[in-house]
Amino acid sequence: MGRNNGEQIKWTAYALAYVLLFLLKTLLFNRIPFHGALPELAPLAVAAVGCFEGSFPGAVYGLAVGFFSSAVYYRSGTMMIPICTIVGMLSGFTTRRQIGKTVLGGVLCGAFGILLTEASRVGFYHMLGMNLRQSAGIALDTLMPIAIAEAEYSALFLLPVFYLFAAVYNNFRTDTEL
Amino acid sequence: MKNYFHENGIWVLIVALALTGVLTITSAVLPNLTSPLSNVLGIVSTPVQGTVSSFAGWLEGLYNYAFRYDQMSEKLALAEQELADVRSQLREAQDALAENEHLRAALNLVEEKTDLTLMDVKVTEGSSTSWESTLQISKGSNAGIKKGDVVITGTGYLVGVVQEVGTNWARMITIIDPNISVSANVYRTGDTVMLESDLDMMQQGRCKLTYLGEDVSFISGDEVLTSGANGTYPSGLVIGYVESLQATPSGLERYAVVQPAAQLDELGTLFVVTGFDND
Repeated sequence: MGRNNGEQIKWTAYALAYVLLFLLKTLLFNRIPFHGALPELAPLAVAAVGCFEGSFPGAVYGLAVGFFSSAVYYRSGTMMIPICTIVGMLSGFTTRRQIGKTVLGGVLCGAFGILLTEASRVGFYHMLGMNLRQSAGIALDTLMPIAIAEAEYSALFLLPVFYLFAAVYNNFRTDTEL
Repeated sequence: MKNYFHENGIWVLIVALALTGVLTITSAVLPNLTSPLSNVLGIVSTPVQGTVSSFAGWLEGLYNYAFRYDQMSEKLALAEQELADVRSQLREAQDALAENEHLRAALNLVEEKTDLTLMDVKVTEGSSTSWESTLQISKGSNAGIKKGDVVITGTGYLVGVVQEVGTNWARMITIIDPNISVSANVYRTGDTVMLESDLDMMQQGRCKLTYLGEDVSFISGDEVLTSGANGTYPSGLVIGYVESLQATPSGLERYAVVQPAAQLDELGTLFVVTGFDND
């Protein structure tokens, strides 16, 4: 009973941590573009949770965050659902290794999340274009500067996001995880 | 095997892919549907975003007063000079208008004009990703805003077109967004063209005119207006000014780069055209 309550509180805290990131992004960071790009924080949050909790919980958290992102961000499409699920799932593999639950592990998983997100977007827009009016995909020369600027901007948040979720994990982990 | 799938989250990935497929098909079949989750979040966040926008505007005003006072003084002097020029032109125009009315009455011609029904809105949020140029505004379907309504500045410059409508919010694409498509007219030459944009143009804060005839002869500064063709949008709204004529990489087609008339990064209050009458 106690452990079950502890789990619920921990996952509520993870959800609230993401809501905090969402508010910071929409109300603050989206007003401060970097080379015309805005940061993408969802994969960083999912990677951090995957690192601390493992593959299955990471994938579920990624599915929820991806669904939320696709619902609230205009024209983000449904691409973020599989991307965030894969990031959470693969980040979870690190928990069984020495690198698991460390800053290095979190940063590497977050960086992987950013790369996967940008690579997927560039690949998708390059192959299929952005809208129905375009008969062909968009040139890589056009896509890459935006993707690189977005990746660089997002990378600035690797450590802050990791430490935010580390604080949640350290404060709310259940007895069996101690 | 079952445990392997569960422990590694493979089942979740399969569910994610299935959900992606269902949502993709749903959005393709029902393109005008605003997702319920998106609507609820918009309802909750719009008042907060409105407050934050007002606070940010107040801070920006303070910053401008403290650190950009000289620049603002120069702008004011320039604006006063422009106002004097416009007043002079207005006096000349009033004479021409009186003469025009006199001739119109003599020839029994019907006056061409566009009547607009406007609704004021506040910009509450900018683009949410790097791949779009959108603005969220503070009113939605409960105020009568619908998809396809055009949005203009107080000075009548076209800002964009509403694309998604929630209960008390709406999201519009601006005229530099890659998805924009508006029939336009170059005032000096009378050519009817299409206003479009792409990622390259969007990054430069520009849009472009396409489907140019072979003999177009635009010059820098030519005014671009909405044509009102098909009756989808009002006619005569100022979109921007031609900057240059360019050729596509293949060299087969030409397009004109347009500098938007509206300052898209300095918008506070806008007006949604909820009704119009292109006479």
